[in-house]
Amino acid sequence: MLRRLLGIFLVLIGVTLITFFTIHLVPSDPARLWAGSRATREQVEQTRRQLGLDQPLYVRYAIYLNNLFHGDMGYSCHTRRPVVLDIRDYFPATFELTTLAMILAIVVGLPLGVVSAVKKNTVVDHLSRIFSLAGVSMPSFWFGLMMQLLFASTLRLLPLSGMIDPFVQVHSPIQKVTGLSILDATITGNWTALFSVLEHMILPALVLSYSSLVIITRMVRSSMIEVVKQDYIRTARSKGLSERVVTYKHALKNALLPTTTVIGLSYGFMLGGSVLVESVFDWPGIGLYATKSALIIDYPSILGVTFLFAIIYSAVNLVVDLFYGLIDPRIRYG
Amino acid sequence: MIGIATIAIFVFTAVFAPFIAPYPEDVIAVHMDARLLPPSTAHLLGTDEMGRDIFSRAVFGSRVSLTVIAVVVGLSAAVGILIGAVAGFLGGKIDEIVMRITDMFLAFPSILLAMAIAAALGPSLINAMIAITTTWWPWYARLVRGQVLSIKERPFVEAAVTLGAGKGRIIFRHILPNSLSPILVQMSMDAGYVLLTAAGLSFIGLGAQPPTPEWGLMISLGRIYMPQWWWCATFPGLAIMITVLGLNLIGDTLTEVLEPRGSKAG
Repeated sequence: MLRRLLGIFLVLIGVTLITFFTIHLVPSDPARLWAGSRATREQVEQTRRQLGLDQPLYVRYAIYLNNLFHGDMGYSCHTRRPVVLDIRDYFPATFELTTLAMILAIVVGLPLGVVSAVKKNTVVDHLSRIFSLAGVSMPSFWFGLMMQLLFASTLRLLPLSGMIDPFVQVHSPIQKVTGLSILDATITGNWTALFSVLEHMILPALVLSYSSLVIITRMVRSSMIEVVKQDYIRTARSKGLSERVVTYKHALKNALLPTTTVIGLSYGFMLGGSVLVESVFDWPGIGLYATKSALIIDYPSILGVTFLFAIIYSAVNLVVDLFYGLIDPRIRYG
Repeated sequence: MIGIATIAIFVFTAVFAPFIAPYPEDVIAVHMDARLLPPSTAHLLGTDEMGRDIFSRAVFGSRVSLTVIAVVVGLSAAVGILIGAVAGFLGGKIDEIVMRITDMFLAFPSILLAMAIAAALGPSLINAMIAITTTWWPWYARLVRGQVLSIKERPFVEAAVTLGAGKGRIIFRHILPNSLSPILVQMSMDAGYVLLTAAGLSFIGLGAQPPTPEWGLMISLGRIYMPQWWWCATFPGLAIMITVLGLNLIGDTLTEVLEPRGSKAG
């Protein structure tokens, strides 16, 4: 376990190394960005010295790493605030969105996978396959636009974009307790705001969940098909157990083992997907923040977000591996 | 069959675009008197904000997409195969270092690193291709390294070593040809994802720039005109979806043919 954690630590350092040197490879000028387009040459040079940008690259990296260990990720050029505070403010929205998307993916994907496996090669299975193929073939940003076109513009059932109705934000703002809007609205009993946030979250969560839903469905289906060939399933049937018990108590339980890994990894992939989905729906999360940072080459923000994502990815992988070891006694970790 | 037919149409369209597009000049021409016209017999998929025929631009967009897929998948595979093969064959410290480097690249969503690189290099289609290639090669490196590790212990490799064959010869003449199946499967599965990633980068402004008829860029520009002029963003997206669907179907077929269940390489 200790070795594993050390490995993760080294990988995270490596991530900062790769990102830092990659984005500094090209001749763009962050000092000019900070000083502003109207700054004189002297002002730009002064800004360069203040930000330490006149130092050699390896010195700047060492300083960055040292600051990172003390919780300082630098200042964002476009928000003019510490990157740590930006992450603190933007990440909860992404966390809520990806969590809801994950719940949707599991709630729909699991039963769909079971039904596809049980009714293999029937119309239901073929429709499920078409649904899955469409899911992995569609660009998520385009799917988001089509959902907006259908549900927001044409049917007018759901809001087009944003996180909360502007009117509600002004007249019934959510009091910040944890930073998570849904939780804070629930804790403070602000049902108007809660409903508004949930209403705004449905479409982006649906769009974000689709590819994970498809992966979960396919994994459950193929795992179930493999599991029902096993001897213990034949034994269960010959014991006279009902098909329902055989399917859900014996087959599904064992099919869930590899599915758990996929669910965990999907959560990490959703973070990548959030970049595009949040851009479409103007969802004020870390994905939108990352896009804005990338467009103006805001180095500290880009580094901060990549480091955050790397931590989450590594943590999710570790949790999945440990969980897998817990639920499958055949797995042992050195 | 559907996958093969779809991709055949895609490649055919890309190659013969100037002859298929009814208005080939609309790749760059502007017709402000024909802005935002709905689909009709004159303009099958309507016109965009510059009065350009969307069908013609979508046809030329297939050329851009084919180029992106070929360059990114080809280059990623080439780099990854070389690095993975050398790491797997030589083993030891070199293998450790290469694997840790690939771990770092695989430690977070590739689109984020691709965004950072594309932003740093400057928004353009070529830079987007470089950015995606930079994040994609580790998958091939890992795959090939695994293949090499299992194949290099086989008797025919031992025989080659005994006969005095050099390391390069052993890797390129003996080991890699026997690792081809999983590499081809990976390349076919990757083609669709590469197209989606490139379109995504163009959508957020870090890939192809106007007036390039790239599908993701067309969606990004057409988005502003939704919902009233919905065709501007809808049809390029359908083009992406159909193409990626075809590529995924071919990938699935290749997987079944080259790697039947039970003999999947690790």
